[in-house]
This record gives sequence, C-alpha cells and structure tokens, in this order.
Amino acid sequence: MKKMITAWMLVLTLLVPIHAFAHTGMEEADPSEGSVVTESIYEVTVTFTTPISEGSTVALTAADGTELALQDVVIDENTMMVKTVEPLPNGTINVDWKIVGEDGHPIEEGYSFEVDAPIEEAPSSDEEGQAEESVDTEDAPESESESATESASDEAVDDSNQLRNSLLIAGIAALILIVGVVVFFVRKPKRNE
Amino acid sequence: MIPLLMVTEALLYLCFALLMGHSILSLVPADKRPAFRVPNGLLLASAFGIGILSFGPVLRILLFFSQSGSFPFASVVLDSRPGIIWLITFVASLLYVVFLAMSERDSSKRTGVLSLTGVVILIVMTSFSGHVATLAPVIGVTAQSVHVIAMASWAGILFIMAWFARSKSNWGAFLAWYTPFSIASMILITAAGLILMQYTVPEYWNSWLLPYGEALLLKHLLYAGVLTIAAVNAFLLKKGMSPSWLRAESIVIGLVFLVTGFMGQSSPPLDVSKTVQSQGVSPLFSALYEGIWQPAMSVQVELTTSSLFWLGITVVLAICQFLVLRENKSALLYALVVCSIVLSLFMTIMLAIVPA
Repeated sequence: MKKMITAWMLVLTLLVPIHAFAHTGMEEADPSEGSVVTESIYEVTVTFTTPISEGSTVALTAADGTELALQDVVIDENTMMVKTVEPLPNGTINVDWKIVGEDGHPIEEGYSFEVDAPIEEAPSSDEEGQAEESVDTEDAPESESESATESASDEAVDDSNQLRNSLLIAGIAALILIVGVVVFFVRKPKRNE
Repeated sequence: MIPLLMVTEALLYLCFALLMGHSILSLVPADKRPAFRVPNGLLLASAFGIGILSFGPVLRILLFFSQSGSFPFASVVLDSRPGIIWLITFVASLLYVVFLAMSERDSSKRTGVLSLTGVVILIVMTSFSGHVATLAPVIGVTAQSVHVIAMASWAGILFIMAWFARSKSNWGAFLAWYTPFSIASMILITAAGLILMQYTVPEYWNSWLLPYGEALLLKHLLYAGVLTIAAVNAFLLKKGMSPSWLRAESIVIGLVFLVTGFMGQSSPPLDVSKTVQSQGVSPLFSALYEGIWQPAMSVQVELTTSSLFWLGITVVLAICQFLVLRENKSALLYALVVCSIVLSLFMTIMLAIVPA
C-alpha cells in the first residue's frame, strides 16, 4: 500500500513541471519587507506578480494601531502606489491590501517594515525647526485645503462611478429587454404554424 | 456567499451540458437514437442562463469590494479581466438565445452544426476566466475548454437520454456509438484534468490540507463513483443502460458539478506551506487532525486507527454495493451506496494524513 502510494507520488511529481509563479502575491515592495527606513517618507509602493484590478484597496497602520490617512492610492498594472498625508511615524508600519488579482480571486495580505527616522519631539537641529515652522505656518492650512479638495475629488470620483454603474446596468437591462422582445416575436408565429 | 456561487457555477455546467447534448443528439440520425424532446423553453433558459450564471466570478469581486463600502460595478465589469470576459460571454449568450429562438422548429443539419459551434464558443469564452488561464494562457484555455467540452458532450447526452427520452426504440443502436463515445470523452476529461492539475495543485499531496485540495480529492472520488455507475450501466446490466440508471448517474454527476463549483470559489493551493502559514489549514482538516499542523510539515499517508475504522466502513459499504447490484435493486439505491462509499473513503484518506 505504502509502496504504491510512494510510486504514485513519484509519478505525479515527475509530471509536475516547475512553476515560478504564485497566486498574485507581492513581488517586491519599497520599502522592502522587514527593512528599516531611517528617513521620513510619504510613499509606499507594492509590486504584485500579476496586474491587479481597479478598486483594490490598501490600509497602512502604525505601531499603535492607528490607521494612517492616505492622500492617494494609484493602481497601475502590477503596482500599487500609496501616498500618505503625513510622513510615516516611527515604529512598525503594517501595509494590508485587499486586492483582486488577474484571475479574479480576492486576496487579503500584507507586509510590514520599520521606520526609524531621526525625528525628535523637540527641534534639535535647524532642519527640524524649519520643518516644524513650516508645519505651523504653511503646511497646516495647505493640508486642510488639500484634504478638502481631496474629499471633493473623492466625491467627483464617486459620482462618476455611480454614473458609470447606472449606465452599464441600464445598458445590460436594455439588452436583456431587446432580446426578450425579439425572442417573443420570433417564437410566436412559429407556434401558430 | 460561497454556497450561492457554488450552485450558480454548478448550474452553469448543467446549462452547457444540456445545450451540448441537445446539439449533438440533433445531429445524430434519428435511427441511431431514441426519440427525445427537450422543451424549447428549457433550451432558451439554458442559453440565457450561461450569460447570467457566468457572472459569478464578477459577483465575487464585487462582494469583496463591497466589504470595504465601495461598489465599483462598472470599473470591475469594464476594466478587470473577469469582468470583460463576462461581458463578452453575456452578449454572446444573448445572441445564442436569439439564434435558438429563430431556429426552434428547424431540425436541419446546418442548424445543428451552428448550435454546436455556439456552445463550443461559449465554453471557450468562459474558459478564459478559469484558474489556469491566468497562469498559462495557451495551455490553460485549451485544457479547460477540452475538459468542459468533453464533459458537456458526454454528460449532456446522458442527461437528455435520462430525463427527456420518449421511448426505448433504437436503444441498441444508440448504445453502439454512445459507449465508445463516452469512453473517449472520459479519456479526454481525465487527460485535460490532469494537465490542469499540474498548474492548480503543483503540490498535490500537501493540497489536502486546504479546502481546494480536499474538494479536488472529493471530486476525484465522486468521479470514480460515476465511472463505476457508468461501468455497471454499460457492461453489467443485461438489457444495457436503462433510464433509471442513467438518472442515478446524472444525479452523481450533478454532485461533481457542485464540488467543482466550490473549487471555483477557493484559491488553488499553489504554495501550500505559505498558505498554511498565513491562513492555517482548512476547517475540515483542523477538525479531523489531532494536534497542530506546522506549516513546514508535508503530507504523508499512513493507516492510523481512525482511518482504519473508516476503511472498515468502506469495506462494509462495498459489500452492500455488491449485494444491491446482485439483487438488481433500484439504481437510486446503488447511487446512494456509491456516494456513501465515496464519503467514507474520503474520511479514510483525510484521517490517514500524518506529517512526513
């Protein structure tokens, strides 16, 4: 019995060619998995093994569990580019995505990396001071207006999305209706023959 | 949602089989087959059903995204691969509905060939959204199409003869070509299926830890069950196949469709240890396995006490099967025993899994 099973395993193993693909997983990421980033960054790019579908989402969480505000998520073929509103905080950053791969299978996965950027609470250098100053004077209102335009553009995207949805659904319904009518009339006379 | 999508996928295969079987049978000369009549409404519904039921993969994506509050219907249908495939299939199925309605009373050879071509085209279209089609486009689409076309031809003729035959006239002449035809179909189904398996379950044995692999095992056992019923049908019954045996066989084939539908909703286990690490083993396996399965372990089959118990049950059931056959009781009872054997054999194998 055991011998037979082993023999079968061997036969099947020989039949199986070597494949270098995986199920729409992560191919690479910037910052890479487990790496330690020592500067302040706003951007995470994940490259997948196959193109991913529009509508795929991603969330970035800081070490303390808070979800970071995203400014933009750009999906282009295999890559998903995430921009945050604020620089990534120090500690572990978890990147979790809900994507739909090329084969239509939803996949929920993620990875993490560390941020250890030299940002202290108190301004210790000129650069830091400037940065803080700019936050106080310019950045604050700007980011406010940015988030305002952001939500406005979000709404616009939602609106156009809804319009496209309605148009498509109406088109499909019309098609079904037309076919129904055609079938009805095509069949009727033959019945009376 | 998985049960719903599982049923819609199974019904999709049923639609393919009905249309395929009907097209082939309408091309067979009337003296080589029993008379049959499939309601025209059912054929139209099947053709329309292909367009509706093939929406399953798109629905799955939409449901996934709706969890995070969005409903990108248009972008999924128009921009994603499964969406575009569905849209094309949908339009094609509507055209097919119109064609069928127009040629309803037309039994010419030309119509038969055209309707056969139509089903084949629809099957090839849906094959593009198969698992393997994205991994290896040419082989994937070809193998998937051959697999489904052979299945639909064989099972479709069987379904129609089981449920829509009007007499037993020409039964002998029918069996004379249908028996070799089904053997050829089974060879094609098996060969194409094995090719697909190279891609979906590269680690066949380890895949038994995950839902997809378990369903595949169950499917294979059920398929073996179908083959035994078919063998009884073709070779053991004195009068040759009878409708009640064909009906029993068609019900078990329906179960195979359902299991296939389930597999369509789960991810193929391409990297088992990685999947076990991130998602754990399947609920079924974790319920059956005593202890904790480490991702690095690989599957070996060994006769454990509990699997021996189920093997005993299997043997008892096999004796029952023999008795049912010898007494020539109802085909339905025989099919029921076959399904029980399949289940107990499945349990035997699941419980025989030990880490290597």
